Amino acid sequence: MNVEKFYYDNETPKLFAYATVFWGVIALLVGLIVAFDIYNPSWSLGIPYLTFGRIRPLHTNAAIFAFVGNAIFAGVYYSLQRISKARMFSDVLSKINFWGWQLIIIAAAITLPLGITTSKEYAELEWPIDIAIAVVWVAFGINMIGTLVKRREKHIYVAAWFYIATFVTVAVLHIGNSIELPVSFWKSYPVYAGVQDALVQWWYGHNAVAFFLTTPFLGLMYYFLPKAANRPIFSYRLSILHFWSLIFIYIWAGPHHLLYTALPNWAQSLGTVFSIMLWMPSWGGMFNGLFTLRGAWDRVRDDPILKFMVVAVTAYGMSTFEGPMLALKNVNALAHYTDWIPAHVHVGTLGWNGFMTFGMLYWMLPKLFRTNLYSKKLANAHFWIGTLGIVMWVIPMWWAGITQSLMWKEFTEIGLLKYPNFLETVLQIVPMYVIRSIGGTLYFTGLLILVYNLYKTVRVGSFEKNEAVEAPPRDKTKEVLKWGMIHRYLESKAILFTMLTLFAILIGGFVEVVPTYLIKSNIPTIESVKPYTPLELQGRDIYIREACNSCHSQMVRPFRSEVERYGEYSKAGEFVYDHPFLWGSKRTGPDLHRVGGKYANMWHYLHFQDPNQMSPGSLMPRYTWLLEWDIDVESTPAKISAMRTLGVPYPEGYEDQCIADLEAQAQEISEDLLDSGILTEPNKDVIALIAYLQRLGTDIKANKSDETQK
Amino acid sequence: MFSSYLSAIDGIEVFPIISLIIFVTVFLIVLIRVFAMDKKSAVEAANIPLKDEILTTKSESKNG
Repeated sequence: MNVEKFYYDNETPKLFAYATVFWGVIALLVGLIVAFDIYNPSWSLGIPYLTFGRIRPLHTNAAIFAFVGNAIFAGVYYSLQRISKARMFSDVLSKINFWGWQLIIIAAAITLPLGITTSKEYAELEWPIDIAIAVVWVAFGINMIGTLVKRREKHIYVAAWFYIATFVTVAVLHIGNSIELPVSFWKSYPVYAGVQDALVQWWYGHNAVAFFLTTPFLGLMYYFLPKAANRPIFSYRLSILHFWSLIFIYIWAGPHHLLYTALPNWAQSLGTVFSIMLWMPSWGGMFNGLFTLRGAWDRVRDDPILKFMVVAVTAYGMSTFEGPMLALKNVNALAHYTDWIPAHVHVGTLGWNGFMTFGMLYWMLPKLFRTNLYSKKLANAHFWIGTLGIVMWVIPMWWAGITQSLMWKEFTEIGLLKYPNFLETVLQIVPMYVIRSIGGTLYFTGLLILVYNLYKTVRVGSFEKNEAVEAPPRDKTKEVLKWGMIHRYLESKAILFTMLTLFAILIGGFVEVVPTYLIKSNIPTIESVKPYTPLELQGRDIYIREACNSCHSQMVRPFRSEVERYGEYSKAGEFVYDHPFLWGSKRTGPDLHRVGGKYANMWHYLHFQDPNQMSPGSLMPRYTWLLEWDIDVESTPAKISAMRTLGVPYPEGYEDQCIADLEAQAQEISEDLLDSGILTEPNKDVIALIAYLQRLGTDIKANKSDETQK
Repeated sequence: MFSSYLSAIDGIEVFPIISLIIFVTVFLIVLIRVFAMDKKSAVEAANIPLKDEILTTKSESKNG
């Protein structure tokens, strides 16, 4: 038989595996810090770079893009070569992919604590890093599709379809959501504003979960689970059905993040319906994974790798049941803005992504090093400690979310809010936060056991950078298109397959995003809504820098309990100058959309100095540096000019006058503070932030609701 | 709440209908294809990941 000799590149998957472990430790450590920070605000030590607001995005980015991202690459670089019977297309691209990705992570780890952020969840990185991500991602895509084109195996195995879908969709999402206008090297404004910006962001956010945390891991499942179990996948036909329905439906479901907002009703319903439909292919995938182990369940008892994978797939099943349930409007009304959402997300990341990654690493590294795992016992210990950690993370947060939401909504017999003080509802769930941080500590401990176990494994093994392999060349005889063989024909055409995948996700994306473009001309202009003053604009950028939106929403939903607590519900037309939107997604503190005019300037000043002075027991950290740092006045003209380019109606030539206006308004606020006995210079950050907060929601503020919250 | 703003867009109600038709069509096509698929080739494809170790030649390598 005619065979060709070639070499697998083992170096790249090894490096990515090491990076996965390294960044996994960092991501979880940062997660632990925020878990403790949230109920010990003094733990940030008065250091701006360690507050919950700034560190939380660091944790999410590290977990998603550093830990899970490197795990994806490790798994793809290992499995793709083997199911294609070919070396990766280009060693140079592999190196660019690896080192480029690590540099991006380092850039994120530096910029996020510094407050350099776009404020858009899971897309916080500023524009120069966004461009780097696009370049590295394309390098990965070319490398992958190049490998598929020169493969020796005739058919493209199902794992690779999921990899293709991942590459194509993440590219579309990342570019679509990152269209922004740079103001300076580290500052930009998104071209979309308000409602439109929110729609694009959650089209991105939802599908980033779908195509970064789900599809690549399904690909890994379809390769590593059969490998670890040493038996083929339960049903190949089911995998075809699973693949096409999943990628087709997923992209439509994004609107469920915006229930009760400005989205038209039909689009909200579409989001809900597709979310429920999504349950079926998701569970199809889960059963395909679990049934692969039919007749081999006895092995699950002894084999920690299979244990990790079984729990991972089960966690996938759990979170994909929970997702559609949360997309129901009545459940969403209860769960949105509460700790239920982090609980839902962590079933996915800790259970599905984390455990699948651990299973993969325990299987792959011994293979790469031609040895056995150092200790099965330790891996088993890791499994049990990790599982307990997940349980202790998730259950208290479900509990906390439901408890707090019910408290927000509870009225007394005479029709007043039973818990008018928001803080009361927070203090109620602090014990749950404590249990959660213990759960996180357990999960982290499990990871440290993995580090030790893999270190011992790698030390005794012998690694082969380039593994020699022989395989016959691809059978180039033409595939004939005939009934019943169409999918196999497709599988033999890598580029055609990629195009069809792109087409499938674009249809859904199109239907979801088109309303976004229609909205612009259809949001009724509210006459009284005016652009921010230069000082307020600077204050808004400080709000973004400090990531206040990590804990405070700016979206009063049209419920009696919210109108009663916060004031008039939010209108689409109020956000037309908000580049970016700052609706937030979690209320660790109260909503701020109607905070303008509610408290005196002095109240805010003292609250930033030490929140406990105004609300004893508050979980908000002190923001003393705001009282000391100077407003970046010099950047104002560039910001005004950028905003005008984006359509905010500042008059021509306002750049020359804006600094004077800014100083005048700042002077006013500092004089008012002086009247209350607070001596401060007008050029401090706190003045700008107060100006912004006092402006919030006042453009159309209804008088009647002014006093309800006092 | 303000969802009524968009109800005024001409022909917007056709969107969900188009969506549904596209989805159902694609789903049915895939379903039919899958059921009509040749069973032997499905088994063969499912075994792709398990075949790779057989091909690995023994100890030769070009470690650099």
